[in-house]
Amino acid sequence: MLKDITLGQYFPIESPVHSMDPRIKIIITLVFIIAIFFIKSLWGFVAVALYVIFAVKLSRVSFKLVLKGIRPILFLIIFTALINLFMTNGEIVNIGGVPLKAGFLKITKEGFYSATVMSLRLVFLVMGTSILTLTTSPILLTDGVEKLLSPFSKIGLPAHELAMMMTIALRFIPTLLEETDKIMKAQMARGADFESGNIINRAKALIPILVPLFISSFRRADELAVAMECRCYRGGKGRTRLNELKIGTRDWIACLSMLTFMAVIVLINMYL
Amino acid sequence: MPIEVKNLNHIYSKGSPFEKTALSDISFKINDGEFVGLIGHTGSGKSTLIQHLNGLLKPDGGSVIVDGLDISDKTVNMREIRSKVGIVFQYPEYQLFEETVYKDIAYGPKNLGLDEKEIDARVRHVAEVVGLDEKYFEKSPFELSGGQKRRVAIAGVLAMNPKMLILDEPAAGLDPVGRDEILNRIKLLHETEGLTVVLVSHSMEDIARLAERIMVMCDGELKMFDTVENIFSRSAELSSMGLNVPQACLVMQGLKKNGIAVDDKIYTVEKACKEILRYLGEVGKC
Repeated sequence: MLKDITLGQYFPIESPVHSMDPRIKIIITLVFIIAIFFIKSLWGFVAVALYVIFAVKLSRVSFKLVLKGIRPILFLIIFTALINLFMTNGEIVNIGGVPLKAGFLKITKEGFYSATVMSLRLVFLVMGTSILTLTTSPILLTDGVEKLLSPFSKIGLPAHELAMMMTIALRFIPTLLEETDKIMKAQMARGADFESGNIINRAKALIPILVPLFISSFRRADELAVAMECRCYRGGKGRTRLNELKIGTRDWIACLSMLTFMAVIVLINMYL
Repeated sequence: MPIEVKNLNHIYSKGSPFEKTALSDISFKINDGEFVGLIGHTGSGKSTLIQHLNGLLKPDGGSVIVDGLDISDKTVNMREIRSKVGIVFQYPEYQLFEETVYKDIAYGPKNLGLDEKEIDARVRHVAEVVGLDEKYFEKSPFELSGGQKRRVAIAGVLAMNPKMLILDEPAAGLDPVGRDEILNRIKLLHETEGLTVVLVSHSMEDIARLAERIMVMCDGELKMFDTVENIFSRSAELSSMGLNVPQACLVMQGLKKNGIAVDDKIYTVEKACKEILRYLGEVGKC
């Protein structure tokens, strides 16, 4: 039952986007997000849509999967759209001479416009970040974050430690899920019931799962610390890596495409 | 209380790219009071199979009938099935959670809704069965040694008063004395209370010593289900499945191959010892 939960979203196939340097992908995604918030006209979103379609095609990930990321925030999108639609001041829309206004709720041209822009923004925001997480394995993602944050270690930001914590956390999510599944089954075999009863009873039924889970997590953490120390782990200072991240031609081309995209957005903002 | 499995299929992550057939077309019947050994290499589907026997997993095809009740039937009370078929998972001590040993053992019967008196009687009884002294009752289970913890965990399952007990590697990770102790207790329980037992183990010696019939699983299929003698006489087939026969068996088969007229249908050290002595006596060397 718990096995059905997919961890992260990484979709392991081979594509030009998958093999890009994670740092470049993170930067491009950041720039993309900023660009989305600069767009003023609907024409800008046409450019964004084209760019996203291009990226998805290149990544060989199915559109369905990219769109799936929208589902969890669908409520947020609809909520934002409705607020914008009904609460924006401006020219009230008339249908057949009847103004669409009831109390403090009203539909205005400006409201309609900003609702559309806001929802498009959110949709593309999720799609853009989905492409990043779908094409980059969690480990590469943390590697990328570590590298990008490393200049800040001069001002005391523990970049390596943060990345190591993220890596370990990610590494242990499947293990913990498996463990939870095992403990749940063991307690169910002893007649535990997690599905019926009121909220208090259900919360109480979780104790037999959580206690063993915490205990084994602490045990694992302890064992891992010892194992790391046995292999002379001393933190990030002077540590080399097995697979160095390399920025290649492909990454420069991607940067170029991003710059072109930015230029198009700026031009659209200026002239359309 | 017989268990009957008919054409059982199970597929993990059905419909996703990670789809994997774990069990395919498994049929067998376990009778009342039997002691069945279940062997198979890692990933052969043993754990998946045993989880079907008390309804923790539901079949994707075929049926599992426990004491006349079909586990896929939605009207069947799962607690009833789980109180009939107890499963002791691998490393069961990791499921302990209560403040005291007593409370932990009482968790199962409490879930069954029994009254205090009955629970108390059961806890005391199973503690005795697994050889756990009453002085441990008020201790935290986390203070105990590995072997004691395992006893508490097994007692917790036995307290459900199952008619059939399934044990997944109950002796794994214990010292030799601890493992013999636990296995002998299980054997005793089988003999005195007529408990049906299914023992999953990688130790062919233990299986040979304890089981009456053996199931052999390989790649999600039930390859053999036969008496201990018949199974271990097929050592070539077993080794092609990444399994082995008991060492005593290998010795006897080796002797026979080299022209020494001993019975090679022997699988325990004691019997092998007797047989070799008999042979030596026969040829006048002893």
